[in-house]
Amino acid sequence: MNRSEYHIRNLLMMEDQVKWHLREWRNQPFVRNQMIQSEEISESAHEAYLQKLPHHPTRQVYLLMEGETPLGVMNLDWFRETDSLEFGFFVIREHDQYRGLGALMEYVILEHAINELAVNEVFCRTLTTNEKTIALHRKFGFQSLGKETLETGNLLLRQSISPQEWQDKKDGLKRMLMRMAPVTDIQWQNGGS
Amino acid sequence: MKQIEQGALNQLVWEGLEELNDTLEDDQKLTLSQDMALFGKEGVLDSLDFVNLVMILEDLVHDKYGESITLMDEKAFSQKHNPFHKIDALSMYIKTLLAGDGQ
Repeated sequence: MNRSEYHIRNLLMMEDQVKWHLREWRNQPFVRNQMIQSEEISESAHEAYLQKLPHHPTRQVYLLMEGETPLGVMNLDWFRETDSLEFGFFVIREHDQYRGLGALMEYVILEHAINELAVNEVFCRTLTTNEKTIALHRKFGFQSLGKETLETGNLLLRQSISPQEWQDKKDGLKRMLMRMAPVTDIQWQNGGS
Repeated sequence: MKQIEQGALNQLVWEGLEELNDTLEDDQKLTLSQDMALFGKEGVLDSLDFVNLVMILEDLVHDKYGESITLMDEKAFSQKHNPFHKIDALSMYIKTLLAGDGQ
């Protein structure tokens, strides 16, 4: 049996039905419990988010697709003034957790940010309770920069990677991940309006 | 297709885990045991470890038995009992694939 082929799609290019599904995916307890803002997103808040998204100064949302099936969501914020990009991602179906989709999304995000957007820093902020994701970032070459405390009392770890650090890591990761899952037909739309 | 003893495949999975451990930094190494949870919320593997282990095991199967198997496809994740959860289940899944019953 052949391995799956995956595609990346900008949420804005998807049908309205898919855009609305984003709220359901995001509100699943296993997803929102790992988010910086873990409260449920209301219908009106999601509608406002969708209206703002096409004009958002930094935010782009992409989907990892297998055929017509969305498997993962990637949020990218490209800060042009600091030449940096912050990212986050989640898998849509709970049973898909830990099976490599997160690593695949992290790989394509880093390639996009560093090779196409040419940013000088890619960073992420992760709840310190989310140890597996923090470990995953480390294996991609991210360095820990420090912690911040949220109003909730939860701790966030900021991790960052430079283009040079990524160049040192990417070949080994590429061999592994592309063997698992070729990613074809990537439709990145650069951040910012 | 090949019929391989379960014990031999348990040993193969164990070798795969040891090989995976060799790739990890000291503070990331896994504490191995026969009944450890590999996959899922309670599992020891993160997303990248999992991919790495799958690749290692596919290579080991090919090297030892001359068979090419694909451990990670949708069928594996659609099974009621995830075959990646424990060493025993994973070796049983490999046995099924080698016997030609799973693909």
